[in-house]
Amino acid sequence: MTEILLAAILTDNLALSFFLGICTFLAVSQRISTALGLGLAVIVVQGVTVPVNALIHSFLLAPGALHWAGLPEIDLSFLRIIVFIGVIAAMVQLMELLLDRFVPALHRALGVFLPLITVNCAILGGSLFMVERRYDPLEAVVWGIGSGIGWAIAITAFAAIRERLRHADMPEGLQGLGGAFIVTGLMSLGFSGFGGLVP
Amino acid sequence: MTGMLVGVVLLVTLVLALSAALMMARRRLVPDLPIAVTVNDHAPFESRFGTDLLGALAAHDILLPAACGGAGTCGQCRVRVRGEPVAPLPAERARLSRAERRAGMHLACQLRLRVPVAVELPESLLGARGFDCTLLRARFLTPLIRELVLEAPPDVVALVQAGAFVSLTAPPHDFGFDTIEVPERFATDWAELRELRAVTTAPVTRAYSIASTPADLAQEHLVLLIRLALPPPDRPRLPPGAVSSWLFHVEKGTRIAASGPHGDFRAQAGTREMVLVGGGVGMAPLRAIIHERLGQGASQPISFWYGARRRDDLFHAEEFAALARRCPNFRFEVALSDPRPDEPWDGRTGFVHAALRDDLLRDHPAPEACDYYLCGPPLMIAAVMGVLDEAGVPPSRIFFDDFGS
Repeated sequence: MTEILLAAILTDNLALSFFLGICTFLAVSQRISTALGLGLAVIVVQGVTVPVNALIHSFLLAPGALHWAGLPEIDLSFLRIIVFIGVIAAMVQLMELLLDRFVPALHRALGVFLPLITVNCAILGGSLFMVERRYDPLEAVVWGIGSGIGWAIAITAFAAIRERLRHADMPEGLQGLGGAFIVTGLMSLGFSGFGGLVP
Repeated sequence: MTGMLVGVVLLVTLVLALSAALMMARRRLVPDLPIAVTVNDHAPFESRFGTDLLGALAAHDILLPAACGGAGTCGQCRVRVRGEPVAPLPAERARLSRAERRAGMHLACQLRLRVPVAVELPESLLGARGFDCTLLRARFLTPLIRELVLEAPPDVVALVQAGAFVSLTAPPHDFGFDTIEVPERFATDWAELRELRAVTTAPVTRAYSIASTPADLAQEHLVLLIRLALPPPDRPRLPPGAVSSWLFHVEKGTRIAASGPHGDFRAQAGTREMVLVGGGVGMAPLRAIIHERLGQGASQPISFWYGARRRDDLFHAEEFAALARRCPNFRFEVALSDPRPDEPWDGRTGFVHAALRDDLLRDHPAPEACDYYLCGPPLMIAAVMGVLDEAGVPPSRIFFDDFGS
């Protein structure tokens, strides 16, 4: 369990090791507060969708999963992507309703990027890795929350660096996204240092 | 075969279950509750949970000015919320100063109704309402400026103060610019505009300053100056302005949906010298203010500095020249920035802010003791603000209306 959690947060960090969810990563990292809000939203969405998708996968979609219904020979794993995306979309909409109701300031700040989590590759990637690595539902909970935390840490740290760099004297061509890409690359190099941490 | 069937059933069930869960969540989180809204000390009225305050007020016939249509970018729909402070949203932080936020100011378009709310508005805004007016006359003043004379209900006209504006709504339309009637003398200017088309499928609303003199208002006439909003020269494929195109197309007798009067651009009380600077259709509110003040027998010096590009773009010049001859305390100055060589023009040339600097501010004993009223294109306003700043005029003495561009 600890290995899965550490791997999810550090060595297999979705943003900095796999470069998933980079569009939101770059777009919503101007301020720490919004980045942290989006990070929390991703943790929740990830923490809910990965276990739900794990249950759906192991009891409905995986080869032989339907043997409880007397249909052991059926393999529905090709429906994986469409089902996972449906679950993610519903969860994100729920998230949006909750934020609009209870944290309207964050809801406005995240703007269009909140519904865009639906097609955030980090979220779908989380669910697909879970299938690929054959996690059981309990491990899926840990992996889901852990990968969410990893992505949140990455975007918050990135936003903090960008806030500092805003007043830095950078060459004109590197201001904005140019510098952001370089910073992402350096952070990714840093995260690769965690490589030997998890056996 | 069974596999396919099971797959289809499974997928449909999942989607239905997810939709049902979402619908239930929505019902719990966005309840359809009545919410009481209190304006000033009037009796509260009811609105629904989740509507924005701007819409709720509009449904109750309280029309706040909102040039951006509720997107949170124009910063005009300001209200003061009484009682419990509400955390400002990012759009409000961008539009309201810290002092305003501390005083409880909010943008009505950003405030969503979740609990009963009490707000304070200037009483004058409560009078603003939707009304229909009739187009009595229209004429071309310059190739791209049309003057409309509208007949409005007497109770609306009674609320109009010089400097106010009204919002006009154009219904959905689709016509070619070749159907617009243009006087013979402007035919050459219009030759290349004939290919344009104005198309909109939804009603569109825009604000126009009222240029009525007290004499116009006495006849219940709202005079508006409409400049045709053309696509910028570097992006000729953009469509022309929806409402201005339509207002160039409408014929006498047309009913036009409007709301107002709105706005807080006003002549300040007192006897400080007044300096008015305008360009293009920015003349509209300034004309109303000048006529109102001179009509009331104001005795302080009043000067009107008007910038146009060339002789053809200059209008109402004779009216102001006559006013200057009649009232010794009124001065009218024109600067043409780009006169044509073949036009007879012996007046001032160059930009109006330069004229203001060289012929008024430079030798003025106390530029900071005057009130400045600006209305015109954004670039002109910025240039004039720069000149005034150099002359040591504090921003609190400068009033501007940035619609008239």
